[in-house]
Amino acid sequence: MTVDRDTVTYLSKLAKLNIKSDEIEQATARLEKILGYMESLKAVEPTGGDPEATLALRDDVVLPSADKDELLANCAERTYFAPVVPKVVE
Amino acid sequence: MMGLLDHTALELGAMIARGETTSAEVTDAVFAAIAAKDKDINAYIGVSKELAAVQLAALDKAADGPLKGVPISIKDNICTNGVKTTCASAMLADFVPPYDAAVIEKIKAAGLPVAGKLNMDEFAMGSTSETSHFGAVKNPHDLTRVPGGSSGGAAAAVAAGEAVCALGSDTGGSIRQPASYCGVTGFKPTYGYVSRYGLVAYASSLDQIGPVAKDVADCAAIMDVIAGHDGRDSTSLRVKHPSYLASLTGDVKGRTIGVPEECFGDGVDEDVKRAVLDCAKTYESLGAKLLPVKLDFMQSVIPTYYIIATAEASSNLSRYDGVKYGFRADKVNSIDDLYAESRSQGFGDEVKTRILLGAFVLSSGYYDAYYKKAKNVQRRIIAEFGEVFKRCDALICPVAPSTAPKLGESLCDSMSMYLSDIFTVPVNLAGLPGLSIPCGTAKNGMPIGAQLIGARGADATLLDLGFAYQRATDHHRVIAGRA
Amino acid sequence: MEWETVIGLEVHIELATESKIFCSCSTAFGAKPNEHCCPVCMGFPGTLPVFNKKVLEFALKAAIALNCEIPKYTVFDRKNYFYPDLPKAYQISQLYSPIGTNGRVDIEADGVVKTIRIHEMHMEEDAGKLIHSDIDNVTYPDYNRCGVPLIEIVSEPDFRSAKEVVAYLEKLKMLCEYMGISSCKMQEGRMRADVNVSVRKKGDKQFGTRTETKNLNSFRAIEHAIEYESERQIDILEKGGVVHQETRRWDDEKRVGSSMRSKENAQDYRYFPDPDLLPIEIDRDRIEALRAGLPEFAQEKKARFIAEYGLSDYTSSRVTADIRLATLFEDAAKACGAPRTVANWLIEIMPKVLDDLGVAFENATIDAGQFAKLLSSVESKKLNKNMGVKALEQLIAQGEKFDFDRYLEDNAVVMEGDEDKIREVVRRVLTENPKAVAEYGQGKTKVMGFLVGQVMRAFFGKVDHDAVNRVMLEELQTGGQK
Repeated sequence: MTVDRDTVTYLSKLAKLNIKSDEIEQATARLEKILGYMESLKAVEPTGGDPEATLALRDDVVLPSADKDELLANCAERTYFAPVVPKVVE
Repeated sequence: MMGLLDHTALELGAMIARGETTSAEVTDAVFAAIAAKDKDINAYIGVSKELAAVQLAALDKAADGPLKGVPISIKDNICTNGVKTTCASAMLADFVPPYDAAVIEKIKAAGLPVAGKLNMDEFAMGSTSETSHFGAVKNPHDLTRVPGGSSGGAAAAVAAGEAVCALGSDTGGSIRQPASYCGVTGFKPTYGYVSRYGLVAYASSLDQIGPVAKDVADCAAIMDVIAGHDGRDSTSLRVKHPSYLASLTGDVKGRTIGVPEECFGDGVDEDVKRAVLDCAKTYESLGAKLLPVKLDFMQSVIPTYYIIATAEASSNLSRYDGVKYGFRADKVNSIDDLYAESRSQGFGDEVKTRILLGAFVLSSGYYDAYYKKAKNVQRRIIAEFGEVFKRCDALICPVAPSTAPKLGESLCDSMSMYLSDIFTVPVNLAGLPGLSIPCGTAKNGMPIGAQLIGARGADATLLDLGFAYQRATDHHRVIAGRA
Repeated sequence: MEWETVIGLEVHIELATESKIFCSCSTAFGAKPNEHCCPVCMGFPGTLPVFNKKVLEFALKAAIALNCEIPKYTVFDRKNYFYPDLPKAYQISQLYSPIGTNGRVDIEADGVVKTIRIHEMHMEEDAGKLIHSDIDNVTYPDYNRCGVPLIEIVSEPDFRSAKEVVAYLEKLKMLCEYMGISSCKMQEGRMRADVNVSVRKKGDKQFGTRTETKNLNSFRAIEHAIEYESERQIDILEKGGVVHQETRRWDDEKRVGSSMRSKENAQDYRYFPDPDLLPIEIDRDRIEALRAGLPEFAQEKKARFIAEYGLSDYTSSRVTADIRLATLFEDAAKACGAPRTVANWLIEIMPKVLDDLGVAFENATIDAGQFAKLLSSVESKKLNKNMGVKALEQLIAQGEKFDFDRYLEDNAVVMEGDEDKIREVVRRVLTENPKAVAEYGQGKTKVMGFLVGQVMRAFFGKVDHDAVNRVMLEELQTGGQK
């Protein structure tokens, strides 16, 4: 597996991370090394069969929602009713 | 003369119950020890005096139990209502959760004052506790060495006598490996035995909260407090838990302990091999049978672990976007800027690398080659463990191939850091319980840990095995300077 | 050249559960921003999803009604992307093992029955809403809708006209409403559609390049957007151009579509099974029990109403277009024994009454028993039609508080049988209005309206209008000689 700069750039876009151009080299090398190790993972036949555990479900019951001020207390930028973000155009 | 904090949690609990000391006295002793020692160790991110005071004031309302009144310290990725929970990251440096983790609710109900929040690798990603935004944790046995990670603060605090006992979390060895490096006892329960509600997720299918303490009995007593089904965690198992403390008999007669040959090969320090094999022989002398076993999957565990863990992490950590909580970058012009700048400035390098790796293994065109393949290997690992546990009650192997490295040594080579997890990650991949107990000291003076691995749900058996060893030997006391 | 439009649909339907899919917050519409939120649906660190069993029941019903194959295990996957309406930066959805695959549903458009194939349907959580402020140039995320349960139904590209699309959407709406799994109120966003449109020359086997128009929320918008998009593509192709694969938006006010983003910037969603949610086992017996418990749908109900109650084809389809209307009809018809009167009142009179009151039928509570009594009284002429309409107004306006018996007591009319009483008043009115009577005699028959009005007033309206008319006519023609 070779990892090139383009791959790292693509991944950083997907993950919303700004990797500075001088860091790309380093990140590329690191990713390549680690992925190289992952290459050693040989394909195995799936063992198949049923899952070991299945999901527990809850009843459809409404409980009081949380206090809005408490929920918004950790927002770095907010108004009294919501967080604030730069205007989204779409 | 023996100080208050040289006692185990159970001893302190008994002393408090008998009126020989008080919870407030013990808690103050912990605060005093932190004030005296933590400049050097850096095991704590925050001390929670206010919360402890509130708990102490209401102590008589707490349920009675052997640990009532005994202070406990909490890894800083476990949410505490009204008390900063940072995950040792700039991203969450000011985050105050408006809720308690399930384990914190249980600890409060059982009357264990929370002394403080413990340092760790950022978002639990690391094996050395050096990636913390709040600085590296030092190993109390040698301040030039790492305490292991990611629960390095928990192990170092207990080892240094700055905490009576602690809660850590273990995703790939994050409780057991630092316990081993610091000469304390650490237990990773069966996946689903302790609720993950309120544990900030690293890799959801592997994360599990567990105790770090001076000995196995303390770990068992803490398990009695924190284990149990929780409807808020869909992966929480609906099982009836015994009293783990009451299950400790110290009798290993008739038990079969498997010794996997793959865990004693090249790449494992001679001192470590010797100490762990001695530990195995002790079991033999106590009446257990040793059985050589093979674990064919050992080659695959590290890549399998890193694919699954980073994939889940990349998704779990996407929520830190600067909007609802956490670090938010200044001077951004667009929503994409806000995301990318907040995340780039808020996360450290190790976290960013793992996010990129996780994004890669899930990305279009690679999902089958990496993630899906890793999940298949995981199923095979589970199946192989299942076969092995038909023949033995537990496995014994080193926790880590070596003792604690020097600070800075492993950060230079991330791959060697990853490889140091080889004996601990299979336990997480298979959802098994794993126990780390001190079993000797290397020539460099550093503690060595032996790992006992049990079948899923064999938590009580595993703790009993560890208890038997600690009743028969003194390593856990010698290493802590309590013998 | 003859062109053919090829359309595929992705329909999102919000399920009518009380609480959200993964937490216990309310799903109610119209709360103030961020009032129906908690750490779970706002994606706080350490919080975990717990699946609502009602969502599974509703989704299974939908899968069964759409004739889907249902797997033994269905699994939730995470769809990863960043957007301010998505607090966790992933949506819990389904890709690898959705709850239904390979379904089909019959629709009827322009009298032609056609089968639409369902590619798959899955469960997922809804995202929040964004409130934009032009003044401050900022956006406020409102997470109330985060975690409202959705099913997404993905059809094969089997539609060839906007009419077929609308027929299909109406069918989905009817199925959901009849099963009680969604209100499908498009104006509340409870049902939304993404439309994939391409065109090709008639007879071509290959599909053309398609575009996707997102988030259409009325039948009219869907119809217009499809027509617009298909004309736009034909226009491009006829001029020798190339249609680009892209996502488009639709402005229904201005009736124009425009490009949102090209598919080259397509998102890589990095789907993988959600480790916080284990596979869901679906018991075969449960499917059969749910199948057996499916309601009688509109088509069968319509046929039965024609056969059992003698409704016309038209009336029966009107009455069965809405499950609540159909139920109200049947309950009232059984109680009062005059099914055709019930049906006529329901489709002719009630819509006007609702309109006057400004109440939507879906929000009105109408007790079938009271309604039946009302119609029986009208049938037996204990109440005139006007008074009946007034009674219906009160029945709708007062809801449960309305007591028809009391109303009848207060408003019981002077009936045909009480003709003497009516005649007495008619004669008095004629005596009191000699001028009007004289005008009538001169052929100004219009004054009769005035005279009848006087009689009605004397009875305070509580008199059978037809009877007054008849008596008045008799008295005028005989000049009070009888």
